[in-house]
Amino acid sequence: MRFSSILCATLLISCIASVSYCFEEDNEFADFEFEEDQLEIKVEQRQNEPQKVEKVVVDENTESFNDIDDGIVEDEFDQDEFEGFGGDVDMEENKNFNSKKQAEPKLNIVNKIPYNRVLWHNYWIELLFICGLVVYFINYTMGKNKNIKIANAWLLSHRSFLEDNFALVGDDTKKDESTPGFIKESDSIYSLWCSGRTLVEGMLVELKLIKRQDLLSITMGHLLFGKKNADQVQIKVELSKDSMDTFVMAICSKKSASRLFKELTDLKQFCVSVAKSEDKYNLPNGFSVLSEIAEATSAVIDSRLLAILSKYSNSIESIHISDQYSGLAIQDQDTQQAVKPEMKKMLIITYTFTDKTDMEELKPIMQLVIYLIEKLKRYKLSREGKLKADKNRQRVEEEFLKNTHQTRMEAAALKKEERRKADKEKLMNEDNVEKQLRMEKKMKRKDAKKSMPKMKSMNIHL
Amino acid sequence: MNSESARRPEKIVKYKPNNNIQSTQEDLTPDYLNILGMVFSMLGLMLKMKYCAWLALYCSVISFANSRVTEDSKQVLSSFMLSFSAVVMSYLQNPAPIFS
Repeated sequence: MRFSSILCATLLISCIASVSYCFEEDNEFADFEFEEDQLEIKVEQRQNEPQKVEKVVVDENTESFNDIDDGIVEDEFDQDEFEGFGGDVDMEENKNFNSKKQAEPKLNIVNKIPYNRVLWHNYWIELLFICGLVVYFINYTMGKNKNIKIANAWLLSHRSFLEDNFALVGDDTKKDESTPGFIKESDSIYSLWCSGRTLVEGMLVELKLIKRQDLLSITMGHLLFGKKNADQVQIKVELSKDSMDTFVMAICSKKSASRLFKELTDLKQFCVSVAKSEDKYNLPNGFSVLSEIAEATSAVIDSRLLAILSKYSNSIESIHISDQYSGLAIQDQDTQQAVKPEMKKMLIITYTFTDKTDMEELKPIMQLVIYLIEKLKRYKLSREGKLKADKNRQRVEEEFLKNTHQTRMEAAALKKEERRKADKEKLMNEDNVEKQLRMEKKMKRKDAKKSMPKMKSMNIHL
Repeated sequence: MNSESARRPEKIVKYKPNNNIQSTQEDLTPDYLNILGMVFSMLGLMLKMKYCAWLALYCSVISFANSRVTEDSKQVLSSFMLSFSAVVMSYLQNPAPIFS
């Protein structure tokens, strides 16, 4: 908070500074323009000057002036010299012209040049940029506050129910807070950690709200998703080791089915998409089922789950139950790990809601989570199901070992090489010559033994 | 459902931020914007492209709005300062407007 307020302050100062700077710039620029104008005026005046001088010369015809400046004398019209060239006419014209000039009104120098308006007009793009920044920040504060309000509303409606079920609601990472609640991940992601319940290690509720603080995301969301752009809640329950039998399944909306199948390792490895799942399990329209063991799936989908699914068919995105959850699939094959990631028993429910949704309406989904936790504890696979599940797990294990065989071999070879190097270094560092020789011999023997073909010695009695 | 019996205060497990596997792999926009902002401010500073300086400022502001709380705030601040200085420097050197 403190940091953001500091940033806001710096931004405000910077905005003000840039605006004032623009003013200064304008003035500087204006001075420049003004000077230019004055220059033009001066030039005009200078253009007038020779004519005045000419006039003076012609009218007064003073001898001293003629002596000083010969060039101007040239201008003096000598009637004898240019006789017959129509000089009279020229002279008269010249006189007329000069008299006209004199008659002209004096130039009015306008002191107030409307440069300000003109320059602001030139800086319109900069002004647009600054306006955009201001609008962005207004939206930032408003969107941020709205997201906080939504998160608090969610917590307010669910708190009592969560406190009934969990000993710890909201982690107390910050001791100073009297009522621990959401942990703020960013301005649009809030998470709530609940723990202290039977069958459950912990439950993480993640509110992934629309990025209302970011104007760009809002506009992009409107353009890409339209009205479907909604806030999302993800409830991840980490189950205790013995509170669930071994199976993987997922009920998800058709839109997200392929994405989940691609992204999540456990669904990819264990599940297949059930054909005509809507008819098979009486699911409401728009849902599809990914299942590993058919009997487990049909046992989990009971009347209560179906009732909630049909009630919240628009908002529930996925219900994912897995004993082999290891997060997102690693897309990059090069970074394949040699060690198998830790498998967790997880129950993940994702649902969306909009601004208009009443938070109290969402409570049954939370009740469903608790209900499913208890149901998963009660449910046991049949012997055939268990066998199939074990077989699947073994298959995946073997596949993993096969895939990582190369990397594991490389790692082993590297280790061996390192050990050899260390031995050699030890040998080199040894001061005692006798000891060194003995060690060298030992190493050579070892190498020779390794290079020999492996044979079994047998005593043949003839 | 007997909820009262379900509570187990002795089973409390502390929250570990790193067990949140999924969220670390998504939403890379602030990072991309940060890099984009750097590139733009460099263009603004080196090639005196005022457009780029402004765009860099926008990039850094958007990446600030999208950044996570756990992320290093210094990075956001430095990218913001860089883009801001790009704007200031480009106008100090040549106060003429972008489009006249």
